[in-house]
Amino acid sequence: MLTINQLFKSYGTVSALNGVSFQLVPGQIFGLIGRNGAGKTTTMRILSGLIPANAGSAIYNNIDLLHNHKLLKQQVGFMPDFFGIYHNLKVYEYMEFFAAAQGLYGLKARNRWMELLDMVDMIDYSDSFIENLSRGMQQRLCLARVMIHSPHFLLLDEPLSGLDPHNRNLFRSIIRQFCEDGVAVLLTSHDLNNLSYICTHIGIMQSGKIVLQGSLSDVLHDVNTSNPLSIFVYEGAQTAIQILKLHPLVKTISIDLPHIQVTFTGDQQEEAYLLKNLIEQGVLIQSFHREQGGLDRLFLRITNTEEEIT
Amino acid sequence: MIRNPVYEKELRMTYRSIRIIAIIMIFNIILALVGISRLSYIINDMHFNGSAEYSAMLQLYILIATIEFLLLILIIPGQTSTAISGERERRTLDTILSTTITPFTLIIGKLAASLNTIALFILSSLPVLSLVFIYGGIQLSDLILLLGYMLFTAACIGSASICFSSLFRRTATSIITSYGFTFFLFIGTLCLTELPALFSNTNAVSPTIKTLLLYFLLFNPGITFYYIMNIQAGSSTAFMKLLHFPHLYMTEFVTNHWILMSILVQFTVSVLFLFFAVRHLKNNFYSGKA
Repeated sequence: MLTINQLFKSYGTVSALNGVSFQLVPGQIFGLIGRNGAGKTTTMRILSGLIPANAGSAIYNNIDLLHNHKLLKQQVGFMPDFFGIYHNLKVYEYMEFFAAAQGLYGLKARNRWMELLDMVDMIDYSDSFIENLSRGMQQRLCLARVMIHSPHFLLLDEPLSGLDPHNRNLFRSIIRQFCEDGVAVLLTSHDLNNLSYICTHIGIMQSGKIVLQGSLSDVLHDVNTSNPLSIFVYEGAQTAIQILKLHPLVKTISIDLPHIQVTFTGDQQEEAYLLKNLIEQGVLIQSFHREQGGLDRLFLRITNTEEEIT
Repeated sequence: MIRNPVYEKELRMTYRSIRIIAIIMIFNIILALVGISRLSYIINDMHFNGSAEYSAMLQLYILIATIEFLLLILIIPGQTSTAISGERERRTLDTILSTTITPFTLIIGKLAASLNTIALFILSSLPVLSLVFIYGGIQLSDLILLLGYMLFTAACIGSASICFSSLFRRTATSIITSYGFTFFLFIGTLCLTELPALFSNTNAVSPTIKTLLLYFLLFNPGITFYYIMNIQAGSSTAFMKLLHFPHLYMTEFVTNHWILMSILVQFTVSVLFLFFAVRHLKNNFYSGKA
């Protein structure tokens, strides 16, 4: 487990990180969400050893990796948002180069890159020039490359950008496979839909801080319970309004008959009791449901902007 | 055995490109055209006069060597000034430095790969240079000294160019600065020694300054090359004339050991360039500016 504590980073007078803390647990996929400039990439670059933090630590097995670059680079695999490739290298040469860059040579390296190329479904292309590969394949190759030294932590900056749905699916299943092997993944994306498909945990960053974090299911549940109840009344609207006005858990009511929208702070059981009460009082209900909220709704609510949603 | 992955990768990428093959071919065609046309002129002259002028073969050697040296000086900055800035523009610098490769390994790997390419240029020119052995006049040791110094000059200019490549984010800036520096090294240092002549009263410039300006020639690989050519031609008078020796003030020790002294100076400068390249890459990359 990697415990990141109070990371601070500033570029001159501009503060990029203001105390970022979270944990990367083996088997988990932690998604970092935030507007441009929120500090996602800075966090990744610090954790990959490319830039130093002004303060903070990343503790792994009681060792602060930020002060032990050699160990950090052995434990972390980093794929930047603009992954550079060498067009006139063959796939296996590219893998051999990065294996050597991590100290793996000969048969050991060969076995490892063959295993990885097989995992990302590219073993048949090992003798192809990289320039002849599609973007999706190049991205998969980069994913295989970051795993060459069997790191425990994988940092993927915008790994799904520019991929078609097929490659996105494939990419997600490869990442999940890595997680099943005990790797902890930290990834960023602007595509919140994609994140909600793949992440087990999320953290929302704003102004260099993580303002909300937790398991995806918990966070989405919290989002849902704070979403309004949407009630379509077929008959007995006035009765329904009276009941709702008197209910202690109803905070606001918005009426646009036959639609009534209610801010209701109760849980699912209390929702059920409310529905039962309305029916018993003779209100004919056409539909009664809690509006579903996704990550994008949560993100908008927290960051209070729609600018960066894609 | 210490292996440098960057060096190995660079060799693969360089020798796979058609560009390098084309440049080597053009390089040798130019040398061959000059060498063969000069040789045929010498042979015609022999037929006409009925006697062999061995000094003509020496001139042929000097001509080919000088042209080769000049061509290499034109090629080296172009070969090396894209080393780091190219990785940066290709967006692969992040990827490389997030592995266990250090900035030092990266710089040394790049320089070694460039030197390997220059060595290939030099080796490929041996058949043309060997034209002088038809009639003799040059010893193998002379040729080894010449080729060795060419490779050393390549290392010096290469170190400076790699440093500029590390300093500047843009490849174009790096290339222009590298060529500008090379021009200064060869022409600028020579002009510096002529500065006192610009004054109407040359006595206005103190002898110490004149001497100091003269010492700048130790940085100039062209002067050392000229000295080597002078020695191999059997006389260093022309070289001494260039230094205005003996009426100027350079110590006899320096003039007597010019090759050694200049190599020491140029080696020190190259090491400094490499040191700054590594330091800049380390500091600026790790501070997020690279």
